Amino acid sequence: MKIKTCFIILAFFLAANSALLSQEAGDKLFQVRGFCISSPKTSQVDRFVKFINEELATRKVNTLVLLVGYNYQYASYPQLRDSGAMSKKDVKKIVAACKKNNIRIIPDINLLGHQSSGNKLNKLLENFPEFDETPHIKMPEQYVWPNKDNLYCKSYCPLHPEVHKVIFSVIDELCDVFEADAFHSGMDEIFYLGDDKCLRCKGIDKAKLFADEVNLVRNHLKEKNRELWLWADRFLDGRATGLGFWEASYNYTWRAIDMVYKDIVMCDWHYERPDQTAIYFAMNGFRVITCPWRTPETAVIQTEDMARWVKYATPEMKPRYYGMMQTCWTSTEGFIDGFYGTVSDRNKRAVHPKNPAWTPWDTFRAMYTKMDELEAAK
Amino acid sequence: MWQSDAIAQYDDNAVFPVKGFCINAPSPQGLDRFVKFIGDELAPRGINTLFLLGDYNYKFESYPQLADSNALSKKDVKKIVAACKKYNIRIIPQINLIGHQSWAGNLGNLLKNFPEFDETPHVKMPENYVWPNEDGLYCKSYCPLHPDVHKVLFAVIDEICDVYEADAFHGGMDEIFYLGDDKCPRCKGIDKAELFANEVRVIHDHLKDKNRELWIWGDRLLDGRSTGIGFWEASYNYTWRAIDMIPKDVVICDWHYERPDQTPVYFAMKGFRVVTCPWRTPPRAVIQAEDMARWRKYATPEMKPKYYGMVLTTWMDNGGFMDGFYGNLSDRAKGAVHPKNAEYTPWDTFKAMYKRMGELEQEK
Repeated sequence: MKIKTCFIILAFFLAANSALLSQEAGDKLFQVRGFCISSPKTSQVDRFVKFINEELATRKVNTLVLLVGYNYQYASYPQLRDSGAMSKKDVKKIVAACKKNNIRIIPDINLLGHQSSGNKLNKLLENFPEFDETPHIKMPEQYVWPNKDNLYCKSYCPLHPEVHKVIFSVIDELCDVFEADAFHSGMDEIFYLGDDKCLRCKGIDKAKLFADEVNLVRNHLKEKNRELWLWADRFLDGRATGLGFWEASYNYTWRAIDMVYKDIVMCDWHYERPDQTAIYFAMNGFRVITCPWRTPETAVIQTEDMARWVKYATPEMKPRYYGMMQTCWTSTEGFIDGFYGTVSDRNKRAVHPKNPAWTPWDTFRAMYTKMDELEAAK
Repeated sequence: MWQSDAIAQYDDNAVFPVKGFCINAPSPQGLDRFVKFIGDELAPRGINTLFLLGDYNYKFESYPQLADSNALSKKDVKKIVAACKKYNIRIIPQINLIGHQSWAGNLGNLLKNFPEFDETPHVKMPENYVWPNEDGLYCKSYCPLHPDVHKVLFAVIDEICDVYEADAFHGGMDEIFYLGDDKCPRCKGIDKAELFANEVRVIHDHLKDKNRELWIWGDRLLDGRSTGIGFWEASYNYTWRAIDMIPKDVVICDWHYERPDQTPVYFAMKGFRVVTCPWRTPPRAVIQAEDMARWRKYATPEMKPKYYGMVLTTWMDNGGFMDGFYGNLSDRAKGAVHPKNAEYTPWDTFKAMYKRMGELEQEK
């Protein structure tokens, strides 16, 4: 009798729970219709706002991950501002355009990794060299990849006692100015982590180091009712899956998938193959977004995959297949140039070396066309 | 090295390396008909793997008391072996381990003869079995920590593998509800994932000593609550974390009948070879076959061999399946028809799935 009662209570709970989830998921195949791009320099803000109105709004893009980093005139730490960084007024123009078009802005600052680019340190390590995870590795005059230091990008040390004071300030400031209820922390392609020469990190399980940083940032955001989004590559075992060390991890971080909060949103990026990794994230309890780049054919297959997963999923799994997000990996103006037919020095590196028709802007068009077809055919 | 040895049995360039069929072993009376069926129906479809659900349907010499009353003799088995050899079909015999030690109101032969192996001796077998019931009794389990249970199990496993000349064994291990019972003096309080994983390892290692592979059903390795897959084809009893505790060369048989769940991707990403196992819903089995082909098509070289193929399951009497297959909806076939649709049967699914697999092989 007791067990029977338990079953009834359980059944009720499951029914109530799935009703809640399906309500969240709505009737859409793609809950997230995303677009991810570098934030514009102050001189390009008006052009970008026009692009939002004319191209994002018309495609019903509802989520804009804006890669800001230090391209903002931070008041808390003015020394962290990039040159030509956006002012508060610039940001408010973008915020207004997005509000008007019901686009949720999710600003991004790269945490942990990507603290340098080429031979240049970014603003954080330039101003706080003591946060460097690998101070013994000097920035080269001429950067080439590969190199003997395996220097792709510098990382900050997540166990430095002062680092979160600075980071939390700029995160809060950025989320406030963008009026954002979610923050994207990057955290992709982290090669330097738990370095053997770092007095604080050496010998610590890298999965735990990574997970602790993810959870710390998540908890900070949670206090202000904000969500954490991040790139998912560190949660995938690059060797066992053959996905390699860019879009998956070779440095033992993948077990962190069992150590982080389930309410973080995974941005799962694969460009050359329609990998089925989103299923793995969804089965591990996470909302997941597939993020293509510059291969239109692959993006179309990835879009079809996402729609099929949603179609056949259980009510519990369905809301986790969260949608699609186009990535650009070029400057804002470079992308807009390309989109309107101009390939120049500032965007030509985004063209696929194998095929001039494979570009982020062609992928953006093809993917959104496919998404609309699938929504219409539903 | 183990991996390349094992995979060498199948063609990794094929659209479906494993083309499987899973059925109860026949009775001695139905043997010749089944042997004919192998030649007439399995061989022309290119089936290369046959799970034979035997349990105690064999006249064991090691423990004669365990044999069913109407069990296959060695001579009978050799007829099946000869037919399968002729058509290059790999036989994988099965004995249910841990769970499925009773069915409805009847104890299985293991617990009938060795009642001390019972995980839940305090749960009495009912006169009239109904589900659900207040004991949560679906099937009995043996206690995997009983000090004498493996002596018996290893003997019958070895004997069944020897007589079928098998290089792989299927341990069942599905739908285990009784595990780590609070009243079992050996198991109580132990992490159920660890209990389950330990038993998988013990069986795996025993087989490994004789160069044999272990195949099992995949349901205990899936979290039934979080995925919404439920407590039959996934686990509600905390066993799913065992996925990170068992050897990667165990082959996972992932069964889902009503939805084309994407769970094989999860198993493959965890490092296991995985076969998708439909039953009696033809349109679903067709989608599942298409999924398997697509996963293989776009996979990395590392992942592709993990997507191992398809195995059609039947879950009915051996002769009943053949009755249904040849259009005779006999009493023993009827029970396998889907309650929602008279055309949803294991034999229709078998035909539809292999037809679609043939098309996909042609398209390649």
